[in-house]
Amino acid sequence: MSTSSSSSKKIVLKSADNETFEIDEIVALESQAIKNMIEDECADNVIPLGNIDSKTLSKIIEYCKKHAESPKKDDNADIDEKAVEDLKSFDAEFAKVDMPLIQDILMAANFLNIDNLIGLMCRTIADRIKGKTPEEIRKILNINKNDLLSPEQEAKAREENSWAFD
Amino acid sequence: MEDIPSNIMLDILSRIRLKPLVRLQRVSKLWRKYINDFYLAVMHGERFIEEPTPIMLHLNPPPPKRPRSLCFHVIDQSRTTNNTLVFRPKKVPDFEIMCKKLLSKSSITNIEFLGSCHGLIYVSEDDGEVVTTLAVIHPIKKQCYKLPTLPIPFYASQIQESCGIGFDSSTNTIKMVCVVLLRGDRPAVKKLCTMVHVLGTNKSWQEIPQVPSYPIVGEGIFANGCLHWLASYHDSPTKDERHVVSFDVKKEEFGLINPVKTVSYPTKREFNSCLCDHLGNLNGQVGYFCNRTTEVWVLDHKKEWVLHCNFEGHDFPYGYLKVLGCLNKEGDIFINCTPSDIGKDLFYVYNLRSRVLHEADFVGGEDESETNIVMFPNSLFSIHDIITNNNSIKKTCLRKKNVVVTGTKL
Repeated sequence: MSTSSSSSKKIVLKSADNETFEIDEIVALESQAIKNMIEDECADNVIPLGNIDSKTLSKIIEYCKKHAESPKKDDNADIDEKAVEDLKSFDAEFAKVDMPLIQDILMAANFLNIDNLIGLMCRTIADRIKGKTPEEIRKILNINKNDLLSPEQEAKAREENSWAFD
Repeated sequence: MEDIPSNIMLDILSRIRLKPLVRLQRVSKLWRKYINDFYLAVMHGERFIEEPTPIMLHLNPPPPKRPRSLCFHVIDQSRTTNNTLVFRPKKVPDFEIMCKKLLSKSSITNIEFLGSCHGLIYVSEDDGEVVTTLAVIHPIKKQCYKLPTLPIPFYASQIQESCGIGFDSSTNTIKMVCVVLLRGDRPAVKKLCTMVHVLGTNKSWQEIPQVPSYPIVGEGIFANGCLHWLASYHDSPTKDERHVVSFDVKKEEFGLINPVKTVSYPTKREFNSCLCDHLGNLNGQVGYFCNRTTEVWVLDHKKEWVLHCNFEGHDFPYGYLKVLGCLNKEGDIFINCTPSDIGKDLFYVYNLRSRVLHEADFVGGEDESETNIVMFPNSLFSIHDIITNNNSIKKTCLRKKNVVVTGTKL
C-alpha cells in the first residue's frame, strides 16, 4: 500500500463555509473535475468549492482517501480479494448516513465527477426506495406535493401496470 | 429531490427492477416522465434481464371458422401442494387484436403472431396467400402501429421468407427487416430482397443492397444487437444441419453463423431431420434447439455455439418439442410437447441447476384448438411510447363490456 509521503504535492480545497482541507494530490485526483483542472494548470493552490459545505466535503475526502489508497482494479489482474472486500465493507459503512446527506454527497460527487461515488450513492438511494409505496417514497425523498399526478394520469398509470406487471 | 440532475435520476431508477419501477410512475409527474424516458429503457435493458411472462395466444373463433380476432391471455403460475408447477391462462383475454373487416363473405383472413422484441409483439394479417398487413403491437399501451404496405409480395406461408424487429442502439430506433424471396419467371433463379422500415418515421420501406447468404425462415430472435433466423431448410447445402443468418440492426449487415455440431446420438424420436429445429430467446441469448437430440445450444459473444443443456434421458411422448424460452432469471426452460397422436399438449420445465425435467400442469385453454404459447419479453420498453412522434398509432377500444378487454384493430 502506498502511503502519502511528506514530499508529495498537496492540494487545498475550500468549502462553501470557508473551511480549508489540505489533501495529497493523489487523493484529489479521484475527482475527474479536479484532475482536469490540474492537468489544464488552471488550479491554484487553493480550489474553492462554493457549492459544497464542509460536512459534505469531509465525507467526500474520506471516501477519496480510502479509494486512492486501494489498489486499482486495472493495475494488475490478480488483485487480492481481501482488498476488494475491504473496500466493499468501507463503502457499505460509508453509505450509512441520513438521506439529506446522501443527496448532498451525490450532488457534490456529480459536480466533482467522482464516478464510483456517484454509483455508490445512486445504489444507496435505489436500495432505500425499493419495496416502498409511492407515498413512502415522497416522504423519504421529500418530493414536492405540487407535482402529484392528476386522477386521470393516476388511472392511466395503474392501467398500464395491469398487463404483465401484477 | 427536484434539483437532482436528470442523468443522476435516471442512474438511480435504472437500478430498480421492472415491476417495482413501473409502480413508481405514481410518485410524481416528474418521476412518471423519467420512467417513460426512452433513455432509461436503454439503460435498464443493459443492467437487467427481466423475467418474461408466458402468454397464450389463440384465434377467436378457432379454425376452421373465420377468425375475428387474435386473443392474448397472460398465464398465471402457481404450485400445487406436491410442488407441481401449474400454468393457468386468464379466462378473459388481456388484449385482443381485431381482424380487418372483410370485403366479401368469401374472402379469407388469417392473423398470425410473428415474434416479439423489447416488449413489442408483431403480427401479420394475410389473405391466405400474401401478407396484407404487418403491425407492431404494444400490448401494455394498447397501441397498434401499422407498417406501410410492402411494395413486394411477402408470402404468408413463409417457407422461404421471414421478418423481425430489432433495436438500433446508435439511433435509439426500432427497425423491422423483411427478407423476401422474389419469384422470377425461372424458378431456378432465386433472388432475395431485403427491406427495412424504421418504426415511427414517415419514410416507407427502404430496400437495402445487402442480402443474406440463404433465404431465412422462422421467428427472428433479437439478441446482442443482431436479429437471428434459421437458414431455409430447402436451401441448405446439407439436410443434416442448418446455418443461422444474423443481421446487425445498427450496421444493416448480414452474417452467417456456422451450424450447430450436435454431440449426442439422435434419440428414438421421429424427427430425424433438422427441419424441426428452431431458435428461441433464452434470457437475452440466442438458443438453438435440435429436435433429434433434444440438445439446447446457445450462441456466445464470439458467435460460436456452446452446448447449454440437453433433455436426454427423459421419455417424451412422440411429438414435436418446442423450447418456449426461459421461465425465470435462473434460466429454467419452458418446453411444450405436441404429441403426434393429437393428444393434449404437454408442458415441461427443465431446472437448469439440478438438470432435472419436471412435467407441469396446464389448466384451461382446452377449448381453443389452435393455442400457441409465447414468452412475452418484459422490458421497460414495454411501457414506453416507442412511436410518440407519429400519428399513425391508432388507439381503439373496441369492446367496453369489460375494462381489460381492449382491442386494437389492424
